[in-house]
Amino acid sequence: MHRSRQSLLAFALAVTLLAIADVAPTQANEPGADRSKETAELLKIIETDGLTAAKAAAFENLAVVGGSDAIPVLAPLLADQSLAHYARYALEPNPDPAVDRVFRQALKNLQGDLLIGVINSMAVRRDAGSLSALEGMLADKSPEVVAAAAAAIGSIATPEAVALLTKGLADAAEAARPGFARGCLICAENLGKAGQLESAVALYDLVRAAKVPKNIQLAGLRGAILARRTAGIPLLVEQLASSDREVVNVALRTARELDDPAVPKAIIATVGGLSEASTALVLLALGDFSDPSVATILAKVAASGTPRLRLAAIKSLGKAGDGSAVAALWKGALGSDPRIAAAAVAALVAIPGEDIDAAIVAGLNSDDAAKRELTLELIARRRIPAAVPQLLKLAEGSDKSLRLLAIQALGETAPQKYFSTLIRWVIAAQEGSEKATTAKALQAACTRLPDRDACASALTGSLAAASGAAETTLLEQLGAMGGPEALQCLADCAKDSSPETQDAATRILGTWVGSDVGPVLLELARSIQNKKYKIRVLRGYIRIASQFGLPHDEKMEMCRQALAVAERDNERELVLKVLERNPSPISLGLAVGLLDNARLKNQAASVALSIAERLLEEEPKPVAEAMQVVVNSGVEHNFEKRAKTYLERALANSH
Amino acid sequence: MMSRRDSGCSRRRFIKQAAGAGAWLLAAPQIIPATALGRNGAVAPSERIVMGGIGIGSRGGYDLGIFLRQPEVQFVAIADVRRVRREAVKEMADKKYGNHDCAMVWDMFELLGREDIDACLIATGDRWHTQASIETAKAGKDMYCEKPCSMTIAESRALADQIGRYGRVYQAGTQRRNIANFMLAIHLAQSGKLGKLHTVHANTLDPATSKIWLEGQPQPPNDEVQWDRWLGPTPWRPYNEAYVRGRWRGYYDFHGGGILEWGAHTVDLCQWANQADDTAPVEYLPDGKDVIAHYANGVKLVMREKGWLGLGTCAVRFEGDEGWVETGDSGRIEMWPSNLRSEKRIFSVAGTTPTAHIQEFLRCVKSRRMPAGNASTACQSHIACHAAYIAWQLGRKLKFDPARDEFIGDAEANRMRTRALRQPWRS
Repeated sequence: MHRSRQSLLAFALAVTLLAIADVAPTQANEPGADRSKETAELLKIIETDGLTAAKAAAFENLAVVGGSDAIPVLAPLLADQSLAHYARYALEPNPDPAVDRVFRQALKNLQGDLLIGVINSMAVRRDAGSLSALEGMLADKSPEVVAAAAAAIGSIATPEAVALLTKGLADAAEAARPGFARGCLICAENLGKAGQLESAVALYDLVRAAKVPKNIQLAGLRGAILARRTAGIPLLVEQLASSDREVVNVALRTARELDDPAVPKAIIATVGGLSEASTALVLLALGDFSDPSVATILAKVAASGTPRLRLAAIKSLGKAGDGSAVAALWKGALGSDPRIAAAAVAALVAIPGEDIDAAIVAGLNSDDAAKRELTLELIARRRIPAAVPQLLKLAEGSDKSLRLLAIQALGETAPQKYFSTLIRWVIAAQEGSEKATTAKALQAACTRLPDRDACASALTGSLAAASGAAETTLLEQLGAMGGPEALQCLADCAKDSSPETQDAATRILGTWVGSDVGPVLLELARSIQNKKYKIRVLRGYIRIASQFGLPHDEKMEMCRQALAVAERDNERELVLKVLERNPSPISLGLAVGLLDNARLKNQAASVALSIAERLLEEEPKPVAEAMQVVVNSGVEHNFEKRAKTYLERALANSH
Repeated sequence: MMSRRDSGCSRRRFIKQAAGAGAWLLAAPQIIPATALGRNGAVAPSERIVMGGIGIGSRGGYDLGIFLRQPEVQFVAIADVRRVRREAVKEMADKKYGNHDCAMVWDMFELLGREDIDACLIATGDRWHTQASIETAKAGKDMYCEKPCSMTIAESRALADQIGRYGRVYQAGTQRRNIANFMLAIHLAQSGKLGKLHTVHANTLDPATSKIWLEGQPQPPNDEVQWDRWLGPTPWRPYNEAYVRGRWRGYYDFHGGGILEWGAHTVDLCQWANQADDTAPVEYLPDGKDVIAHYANGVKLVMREKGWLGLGTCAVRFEGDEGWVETGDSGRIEMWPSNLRSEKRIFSVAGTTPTAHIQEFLRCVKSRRMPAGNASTACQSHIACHAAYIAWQLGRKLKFDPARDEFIGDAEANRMRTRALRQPWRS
């Protein structure tokens, strides 16, 4: 397959040599350079018979370089059923005004989709001079043609265009009316962008009142609100009171789009005057505003509304709440409605501020056991460092449930000096929940504590005291920490006499992040006797070559070493994949070297061919040598055939 | 309370609200079945989102599996130009619901004409994403559309305009905007914890595409594949089965190249990190397979394939004058200086799953909030990718005016901002 750089300029230079070929980077890449010679070559191609890839590419390239000389050749093709689109493809972006004249003229002669195509191209060009020609299309009996013309006129958006669309919408038959209305929407948007907001509002109002499908009316309503800007807020609020959910949806959307500080106050004023369903949606919308009055109303409803409204208000408090909401959130979090409770906990986690931290930590003094447990969860999720002294006491206490929650919270909050305490708890853990909790706490601490080296040292230094699951936990955290000390420790453990230790260490090394693990894995692959772990570390080694952005020569050396160590074809196959993704004479040579392997012969040939295809131009000599080997190696016929082809091309290129 | 099927009325009619404004502000006993309110695991009819699918292949099937697991979603119809895919999607949906109700049509307009459908999952090939999204918006429906969202700068703008025009909720399949490790990296960049941001790096792929055609083959019956509709707005070429079976990537007419392929995610994240969701870089300089760009605020955007820390595909890196952060699809995140680690948490969800992104979309369908991957942000990040690809194609430095979507002083680059759509399609 040709993997050509899509340099259309270079392509243009190459077309006389071959229809489509791999091309070198262009030498003529200055903007504004004379392209007449390239254009002439491309035009020669499009005048050939039939439609081929080369011809299609010539049209596509003319779209970029074609000048005025291309227009007379392309214009007649607008009526050619099979080439009309390609002609438009080339003409549409051509800035020459003669293109507009060609399109206007074409309107007189075309029908159906070809006509619509030209109108659509005129819409892209937004040529005001085409207005009268497009006007003629508005009377077409095809609603699709009318819709295309109305859209094109909308894109022009001059006062004359507005008049045409306004009249058209008023007078149109039912089938054509949606097209006019959509044209009005386009026109109004363009007017708005040009600052002509009054005209835009007038058009939007026409659309929302027109007898057209509801989604078009709603688009008009949206535009009518937004184009009025601040003056549109009453219209927005009016929609919130609608019994139609889709109308309410428009208000909810425009409330967020208007970007006007008066919006939150206006919609807060509706709370109490709307249906419950609409109020719930308004409360959700209020969460997107930072106005201080928002937090107040949300806290009020969160405390005293119906369940549906409490849920909506509490969800928004997570984004817009403050300290005034804490009491209501505690109530919700400890209540019986699981959806409200979950939302309240989420809000208590999300609302920022030290006052919230203090209010939460105070929950540790509660008589309510459920509140104390929730407090510990919140301390952990908010990471409140001020709670650490109390957490340490609870972690040494007799209430198991609180003890485990406190340990978990300490994993999220304790400073570096308590890291060894967390390790000690892991080693001392006796049963399932305790082991799981202490391991999770240690993982949380390893994840966040700044001094990674100190953590790694502490973990390494504690390994001697750990065994079984605790040892595995410490090794996993070492793997997660990274760094030279952790790497050396894991490398030593990978050779440990305990199969359990060796299993954990080789597994962790196999997923190590960083290419520094490469030499360690290679050494282990050579020295480990256990076949399972040997395979594991070798595959980890190949993964480094595959996934890391190492220098090419280094990758190739790793592939060479991996092939030397590999005892199974499965790993050799992995190496072949790396070679295929890294084409070079070296990777080609390594792939060809596997042609002697009876089971991998064809796979190696396939990879060698894939690499050769990409090296034909730049490295013809090694390609020729390699292809000669492939041809002589007894591979499948199709591979042999391709190899012969590449051999011929490589020899030709060598000369 | 009658079900929709019994009553034959749409969700919109179903939820027309009762009068009695104000009374509900105080909690009062209400005689409404708990299931109608969505308790006990049931979803109230008013909260249900009826969905259809347009062009669902392997990626779309993955997305659809997640949509089907969301309790508020009721998936009722598939439109696909390939029979084999229509049938596969119907089987998925019918198996989920234990019935045979999922409708199959080849023509998306038939699906879009259904009043009961609120939203669509769009997962066609790239060439169709903009057009299908626009038609969905014009039909008054919301949509979750896979990335890349557009084929050109002009399509990107048209997409944002049309979604806005019809007030629809649009979520691009840029799910990394809702994945914790990427969100943390963004937080560090935006909060000033890296100091003054000066460089953002986006993992991209080889930009090259090809204009060759595969060998023509006899067109299958329309019931099997609607070839003309498969091509849609792109230039006509002869049928070859490989295209419709998914081997369309790498062809210029169907695919935006490697910058867009991953840049739709990674450049998008860089835009976000730079708080530049409403703009695009103003300068693009090709450098081998990479492109170096600059924003008006001075931040440099490096779109590059290689030189990453190995944290997974679709990596991004943000650098300020006091620190840096890098992350990727492995979920792992590296940062400097080490005190930034205090911001890290154990990510409950890592990797690339779009579940949270899909859930955000569904919440927004109800609330009418703009989701993270809305059409405006997707438009700008895609424009950045397209502009970089154009600079790469031309092999020269380009200056760009993001306010006008226009290259400055380069007519040829400007002519590459759009590609004429095959009739009768228009954006």
